[in-house]
Amino acid sequence: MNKVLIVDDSSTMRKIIMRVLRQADIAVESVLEASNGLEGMQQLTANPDIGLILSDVNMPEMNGIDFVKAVRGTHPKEKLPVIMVSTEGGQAMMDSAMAQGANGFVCKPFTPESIRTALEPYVH
Amino acid sequence: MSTERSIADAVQTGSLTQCERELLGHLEAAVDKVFTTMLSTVCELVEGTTAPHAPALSNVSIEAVVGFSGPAHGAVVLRCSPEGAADIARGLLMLGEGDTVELAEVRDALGECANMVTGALKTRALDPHGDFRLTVPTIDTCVSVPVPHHGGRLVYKLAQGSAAIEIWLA
Repeated sequence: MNKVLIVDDSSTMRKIIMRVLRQADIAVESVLEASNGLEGMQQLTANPDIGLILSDVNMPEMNGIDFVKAVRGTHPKEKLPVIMVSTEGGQAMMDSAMAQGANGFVCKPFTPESIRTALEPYVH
Repeated sequence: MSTERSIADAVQTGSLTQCERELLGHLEAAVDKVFTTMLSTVCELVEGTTAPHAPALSNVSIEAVVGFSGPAHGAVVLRCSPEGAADIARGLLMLGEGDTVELAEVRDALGECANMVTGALKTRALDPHGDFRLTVPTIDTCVSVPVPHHGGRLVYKLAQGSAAIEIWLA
């Protein structure tokens, strides 16, 4: 895995996810951060070798659903996995995220194991 | 909350007391889920009251608010003493009791904690009753702490300090 992008408006949650990635022994070259979908798109443009995205849903400026829709405009699902990590775990929200091209969904609060399981198919 | 009656129904019919009790039960379960899964701190429920009986809080310095809208409107509010706010931040960031946390970290951690509690509450208690939306958290220092008109409050003793988690219904 080259680069992982974490998109979340909470710096606390970005730190937690980074810690979980380390605990899960997921080898990544570097972790990039963005605090909303717009910043996420800027990071993606500046870093075309991003190999995995974990994104919140409920964010200012551009939410996670619009973000994954924008990502899929340039990056197909098979080439760039996007895992949604959200407090809103209702079926309608999950269906909406998956319909826009998300590869998976993890509900907050989460255990390290649930993150590991969600990322397993995409991490080598 | 029973599936036969929604919050909106309860607001319209004025039968909020039972609804408030049920919501507090869901709120307690949501808090328990967040604290046991994500925080490395002790959290003990010391008081639970519905709105008309909730006394004014003292020693509160900071609050995080996440609003919800849909068939009913309201908010979940996390209010903390200075020590409680720092304790929650250290717990989320997996820091030791003696570790220092910056105010910006405390504010962000409280917002995320309130966000996760509200999300868990939404999944348990609100989503079965319709399409609800959450706001992004807002964090502020408390000047005054009004007792909510409808809703309830849970007060927790933490490893250091205390926290109150409230649900308001508009």
